[in-house]
Amino acid sequence: MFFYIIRRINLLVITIAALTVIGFYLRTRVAGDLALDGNVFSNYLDYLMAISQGDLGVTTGTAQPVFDEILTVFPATLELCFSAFILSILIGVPIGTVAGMQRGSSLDSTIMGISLFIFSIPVFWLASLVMMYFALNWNWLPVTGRLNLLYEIDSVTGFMLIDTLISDSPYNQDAFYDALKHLLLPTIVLATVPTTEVIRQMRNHVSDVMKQKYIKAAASKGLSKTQIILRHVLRNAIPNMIPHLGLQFSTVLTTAMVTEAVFSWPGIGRWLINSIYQQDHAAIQGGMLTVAIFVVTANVLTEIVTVVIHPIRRKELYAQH
Amino acid sequence: MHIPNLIKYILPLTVMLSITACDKQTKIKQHGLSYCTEGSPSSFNPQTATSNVTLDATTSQLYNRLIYIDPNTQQFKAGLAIDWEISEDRLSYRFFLRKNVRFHHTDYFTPTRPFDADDVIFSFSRILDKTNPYHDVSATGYPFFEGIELDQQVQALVKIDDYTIEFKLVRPDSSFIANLASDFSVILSAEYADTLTALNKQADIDNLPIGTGPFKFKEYRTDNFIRYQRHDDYWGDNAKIKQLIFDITPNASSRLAKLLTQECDIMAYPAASQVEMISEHDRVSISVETGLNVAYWAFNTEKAPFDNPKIRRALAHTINQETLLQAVYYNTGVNAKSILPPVSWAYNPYLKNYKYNLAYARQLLTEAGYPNGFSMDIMALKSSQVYNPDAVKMAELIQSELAQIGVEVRIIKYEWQLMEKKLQQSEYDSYLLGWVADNNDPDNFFRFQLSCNAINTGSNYTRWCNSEFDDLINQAVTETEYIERVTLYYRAQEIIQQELPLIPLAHSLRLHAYTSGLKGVETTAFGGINFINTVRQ
Repeated sequence: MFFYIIRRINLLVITIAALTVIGFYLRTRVAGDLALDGNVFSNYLDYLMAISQGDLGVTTGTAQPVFDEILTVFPATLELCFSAFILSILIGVPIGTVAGMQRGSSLDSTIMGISLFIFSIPVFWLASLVMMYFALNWNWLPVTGRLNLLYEIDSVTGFMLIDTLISDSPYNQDAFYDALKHLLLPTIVLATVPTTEVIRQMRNHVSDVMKQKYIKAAASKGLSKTQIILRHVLRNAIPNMIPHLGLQFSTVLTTAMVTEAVFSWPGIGRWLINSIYQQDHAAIQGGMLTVAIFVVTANVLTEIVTVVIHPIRRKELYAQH
Repeated sequence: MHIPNLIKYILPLTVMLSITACDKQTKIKQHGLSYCTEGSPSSFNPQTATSNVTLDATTSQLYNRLIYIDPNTQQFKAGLAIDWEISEDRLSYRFFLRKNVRFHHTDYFTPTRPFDADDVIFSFSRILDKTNPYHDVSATGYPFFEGIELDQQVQALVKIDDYTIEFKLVRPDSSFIANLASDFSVILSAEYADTLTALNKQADIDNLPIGTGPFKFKEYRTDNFIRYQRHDDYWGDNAKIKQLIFDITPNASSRLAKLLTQECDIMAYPAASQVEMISEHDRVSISVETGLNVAYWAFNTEKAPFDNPKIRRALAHTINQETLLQAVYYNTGVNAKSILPPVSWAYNPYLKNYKYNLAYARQLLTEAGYPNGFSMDIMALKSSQVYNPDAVKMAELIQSELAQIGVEVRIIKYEWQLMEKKLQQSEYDSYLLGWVADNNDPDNFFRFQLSCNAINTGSNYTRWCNSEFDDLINQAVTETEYIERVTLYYRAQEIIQQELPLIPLAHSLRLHAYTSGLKGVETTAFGGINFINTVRQ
């Protein structure tokens, strides 16, 4: 176990080192905002020193430190990704379980058919569609941003739902509902792809578990279907899901960038797209580095968490590597 | 708890919460206003800027000027100056200042004294006096004042007493007072400048603004929003709303979406193509005003064959203004006969348009020695402008008309920075551009763009120099008799029409779409929007 974690962390360090090399190249060759003195290696060390202290350079657009800007936009993206993740689990796990329990049935085929159909819908098109109906035609939900700007909420954690709740504004409760309403449409759009993935994975794992002898034993003991699902099926199927979810995270983050652009969600995706338009290389390298480090770390962490909570998985990993 | 019980408790709770939330939301909306603007301000001090976005976001909200132009009567009216006198020789302008005018009290500055003559002196000497410590604080300089050469115009600025101030001019100039009333001539706080000097934070004067206007600065998130709060010690009637938000939304479709979902109360510059759709919606209204602007097609008059007025007239006869108004402006413009818009007091209504007549155009080309036509370039801006929503489309329409008289057109599309460079290097045949007035003085339309001197200073891109025209506009600014000035400008417009260094095409209407029930949004023909009297009904 110890060696396994060391190996994972090693991989993490090497990957991040490779990313910093790319970041270094962008910042010195393209953005050109780092003083160079001829020795590439010592320049690189200076760069590492700088980024470890949070110095990612200064944006050309606003002349603000890149790091500060990332701190204001990244929580918005994380909030969106987390809520989409939670929604996809809330929807995907029960539906996937139903499909897995009745694998091969017409209900299973219908669920899989629909989820394949939803999976193949382009995100930007779906986003425009829900925006058109829910916001413009029916006027149920707001269309862009995170909060009606008339609410003055100080940014403490960067997560709007939390900030509105802890704010001392007399309107904080209304602001919370408003933030929730703003979160809804982008969350639904962002959750579509991971939901179909959760359904597919859950179905496979549930049907695998259903074939096991202990399920038959439980059934013969007279346990009801609900008891079997809650005590045996979910308990054995869900831990297998975790590494898949970890891998999904980078997909969600990428999809979030498109969603942010459509819904004017003030997250790192929209910020990066603006930086690309403005050819703000300092911002691009800072944003790229942050997102990449985040994704790699999240993946390694999910793997570690998986082996910690799921010993069988640990054996499999040893066998694989 | 059984599930039905859960529903029994949760449902009324949700309904109750949504009702209270709705109620409070109405309240916060009642006291606040959100304006969806098309871009970020380049500064919070209009003295240092030229963009309409910056003027909209700052001039009327944060600051006051000595005098104003009444949007209805076009007469000057009192601002921070309650009265003014012009000397007989028209070389001295004396202003009597308003007392008990308070500057903004904010997190970053607490004023100790009301507005007085020192503030006027500071505001203008910053621009005029190159040795003033604040002169070089702004990286952009003072484009408007440099353009009108205010430093050549004003000889001295004298404080008579705490509430009287006098501008001494080098020569009489009728446009001087209009320039003082322009959006750029705002009054800053001298005391704030002193405080910033002591803190060695001079640059903050343009970024963390202090003025005497109806709103004070609260927060700015770059490319995101600006938050203003009501200035409760305002010298006039306080603004009706407590909070004003400028929601920065560059995309016109997103602005429209925000307006329809009521995230925004007012939307700046709806796209011409959206107007019909907006007017069908019952929740939103649209306001249309004549803008003090013009879109034109101009020529490099130093280059053959465009140095021949006959060629320029031939090209003028190929333009079908009605088609342009329909296809480019979607009828949100009016056709132009003169470079001056019809709302200007010096507009010459007797001018006649060049009629759309391809046969006559061909005849003129033959007379000028080009029976088989020629080939030429048209430079057009890629982005939409206040005066021209789509210059590229306009260029394409002109291209197809010119093809019929044998003139082959190549369209070159530019961003402004690149086009400006080409214009300054005189590397072009013709270009589609326009002008938005900075004040209601006609001189503002003529001098920059068409005077001989402007060829040297680099703003007359047509490179057309006509001594008779120059004499007329020079005479007009020194003339005091209104009728005489009008006559001179009428004649100046006739010369432009005969010589055609540029062909005026259209005057764009200024559009705003807003939530129905909103009253008192004031806009002026030469840009600027004012929310002091805005109220929700």
